Amino acid sequence: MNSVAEAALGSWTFQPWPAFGLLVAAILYLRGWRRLRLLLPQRFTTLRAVSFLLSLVLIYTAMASPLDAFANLLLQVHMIQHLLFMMIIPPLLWMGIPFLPMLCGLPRSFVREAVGPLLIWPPIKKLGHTLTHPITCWTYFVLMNVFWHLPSLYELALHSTAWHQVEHLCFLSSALLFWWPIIQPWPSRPIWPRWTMIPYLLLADIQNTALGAFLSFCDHVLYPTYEAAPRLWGSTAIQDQAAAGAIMWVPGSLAFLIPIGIVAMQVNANKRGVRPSEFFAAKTQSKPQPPATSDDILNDLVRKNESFDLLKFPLLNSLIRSNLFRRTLQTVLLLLAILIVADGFFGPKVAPLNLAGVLPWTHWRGISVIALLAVGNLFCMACPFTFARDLARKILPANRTWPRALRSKWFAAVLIALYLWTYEVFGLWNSPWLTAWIIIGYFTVAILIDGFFKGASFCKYVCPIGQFNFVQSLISPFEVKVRSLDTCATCKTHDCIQGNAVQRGCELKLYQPRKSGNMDCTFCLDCIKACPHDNIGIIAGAPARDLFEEHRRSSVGRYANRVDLACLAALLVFGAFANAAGMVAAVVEWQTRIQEKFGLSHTSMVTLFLLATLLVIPAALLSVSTVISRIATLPNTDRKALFSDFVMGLIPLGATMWTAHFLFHLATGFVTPLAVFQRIATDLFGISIAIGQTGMGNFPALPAAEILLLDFGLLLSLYVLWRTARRYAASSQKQILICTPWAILAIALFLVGVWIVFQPMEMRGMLM
Amino acid sequence: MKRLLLILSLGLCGHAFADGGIVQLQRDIPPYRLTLFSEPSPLRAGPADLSVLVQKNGDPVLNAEVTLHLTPEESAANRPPDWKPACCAMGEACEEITLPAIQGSGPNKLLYSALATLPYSGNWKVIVTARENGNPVSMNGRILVQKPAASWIIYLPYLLLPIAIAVFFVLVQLAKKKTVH
Repeated sequence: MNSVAEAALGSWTFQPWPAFGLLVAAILYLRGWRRLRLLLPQRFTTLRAVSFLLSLVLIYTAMASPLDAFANLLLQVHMIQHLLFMMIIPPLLWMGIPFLPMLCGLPRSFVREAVGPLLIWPPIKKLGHTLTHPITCWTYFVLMNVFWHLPSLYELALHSTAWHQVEHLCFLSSALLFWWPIIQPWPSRPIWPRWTMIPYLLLADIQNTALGAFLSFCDHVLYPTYEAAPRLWGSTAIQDQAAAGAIMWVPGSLAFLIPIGIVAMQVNANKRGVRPSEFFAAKTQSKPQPPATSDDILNDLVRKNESFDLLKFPLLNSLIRSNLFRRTLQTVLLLLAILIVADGFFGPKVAPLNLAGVLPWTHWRGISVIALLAVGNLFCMACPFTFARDLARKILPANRTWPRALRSKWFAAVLIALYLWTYEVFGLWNSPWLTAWIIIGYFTVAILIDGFFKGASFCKYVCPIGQFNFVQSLISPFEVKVRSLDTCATCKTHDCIQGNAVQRGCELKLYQPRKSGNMDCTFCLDCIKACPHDNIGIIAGAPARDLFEEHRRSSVGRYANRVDLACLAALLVFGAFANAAGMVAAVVEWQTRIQEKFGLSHTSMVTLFLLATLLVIPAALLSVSTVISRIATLPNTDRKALFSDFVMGLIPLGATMWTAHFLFHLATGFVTPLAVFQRIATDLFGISIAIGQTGMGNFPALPAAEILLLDFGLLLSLYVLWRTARRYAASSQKQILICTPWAILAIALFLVGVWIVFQPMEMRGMLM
Repeated sequence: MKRLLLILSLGLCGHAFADGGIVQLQRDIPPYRLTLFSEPSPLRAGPADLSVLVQKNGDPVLNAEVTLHLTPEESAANRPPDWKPACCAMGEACEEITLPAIQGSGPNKLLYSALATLPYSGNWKVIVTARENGNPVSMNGRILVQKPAASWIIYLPYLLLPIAIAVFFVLVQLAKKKTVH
């Protein structure tokens, strides 16, 4: 093969979204097919699965192979691509009878709660019936085939990527409908008698033949794009068009004629009273399946009903349970903290060239929030501050009780507000020296508080990082919780909270049987190690479920009674937007203009901005929402409870805004430490390492990823708000009324988030 | 690596350069023929895929060195860029762009492709130079770059996603209610 042919045939491209979608479809199908095959082996044969998977492979081939790469240069290649979409892929897909396998492949609760009710809803059934009626199917297919081959529309598709995708979507959807009554995928039932499929196919073939012949014999080039395109391999534009017409005509007609033959044979067989399906069904019935099959299904179902527990993985279980695991994580972070402090004090003052300017503000923040969203509170698990205080407790008494007046989140909320102010006023991200001092201060306070007070008072009531992690981890998918409450009911020792001779119990006073959600949980795993019944796991659950459930949580209580917690949550929600807005070009310019106009200092401007965004605006919006909700319910509803409950509903949106913001810094500055390590290697050892470019520049996919995160946050917030409203009113109308002001607030915050994402930003912590 | 990430990134956000795009310029310089393609279509200020097909006596040439030089016709001095990257650096836009086009880096392996960021709309002067065995051939021309689409249009599918899911959720609730009744 010569190099040109090799290059042409190698013109494949990776299409991430289609690849992802098709992969998900394949996994769902195979998951369901495997289960259904045990029940109905004669129906769900291997051939069905092969047919379905082949159709998926062909869809990707049509989109990512040389067929797509050369479609704008050669009409005949484009025609083959369209033939795949219209004649080959749809029948293969329907022959895989994908409905039941896909339904069985989806999570059971999703089918029960969402897809199932929708599929049996009369309007949807009626719509499905209308869409799959042979007249609708035939008309739609023929119209699309003719319509998109009109020169003006074909040119439109060739000149616009978006219209090209619409064209392919029209072809694929119309062909899927067209082939529906012919293949009639089980368990659908035919609307017309089988013999009618012969004229149905013949009439479609006539239209296709006429169009193919017109293209073949037309004496001028119909599509100017192909006339302007450079000619490859010596063919002229008119020859290319004639070849395209021939492809449409001959292989296209075969795609209609072969099914006509098969349908004719089926009709003929039915007249003789022998149905192939009956024949095979009878044959299969004569050979009963071994009884083990039903047991397998039962076992499978039972297994599926169990919650996913990270500690069920043998290797992970022994790793997490070992005493060395947490200590190793903490030691690594402690050493890193020492390095950061040392570089912060003695390294260069240019933040992007200093570990203290890079690792805490770009990497640690980014990785922490991603871990919170993907797993849970992993930073607190590896916290170096608690390691230091554990060491200090060997000397210090730690025997006092934390003052009752300070047993709330108020103090921590004030510290977080102070941190947000300090961050902007002193430009902490830009000062390695201040960063080093903050870390030193953090260690000192942690050691002093926990060195003199019992339990984990610092973590529970003081640590701003801890409070941030506790609130954000309320939407984490994993939770440390008991596997079986029955086992707890028989437990007499309560080691999970009281500890035993070898292992301390929960220092944050979370009693496992009554613990719910991740609030105040540091993922220290002390309870897991202390439980003598091995009854505590790291168990997956619906994210944010704890935010709308009404019950008394161990050591936390009811959210409705925790105004301090609600205010902390509100501060973190609005803080997410204020903190991100502070680095946006439009906001920075606006602040500069106001500063110049009124002669304000930078500190005054930042103070005013944060007062407005963290106090005045949130207070006004949340008060108005509470008042409206209260009017919509009963006037005697507790205002504080209403406020506290609904503010929790905004946490998902705030958490995803923080994640989007920190993800931006992480992605754009991911390789920045390489320059720092290069500098350290040169300073300390005189070694010069060529690392190359260390600025990552722009990623067009980053806004998309950030918007997807905000989408997730908005939907989760709306869901939590709606579920919370259901607790306050029985009727749907009242629920909507209660929920509306909060939903509007959530949507407004989402739009602010999207606006921030679209703005040019300061590349903090980078040499730009 | 950076290029790979950028290509993946472009693919994820829907800027995928499908097949070289549409023909912008074509010149016969016997025995060569140079054709410049652009994607997206229509060409707008912002990231763009520029691809070149080099043919010699009608056959594609795969061992040439191709460079692209782009300059906005209207001077960019004291003019804010029409396109600023969403969610990225507040940097200065560059006025002159010179970049190599690499064979096989785009989907169509017969083409020489380059990813350019065009910050200004209007006419741009383009010089395409191809060298095969040290013999340079070049093509001059002009391409029209339109104003960039608004960010919310570019990312519309991502903004519509929550609406679609919310509609689905409402329909499910309606269906449940009717089924219960």
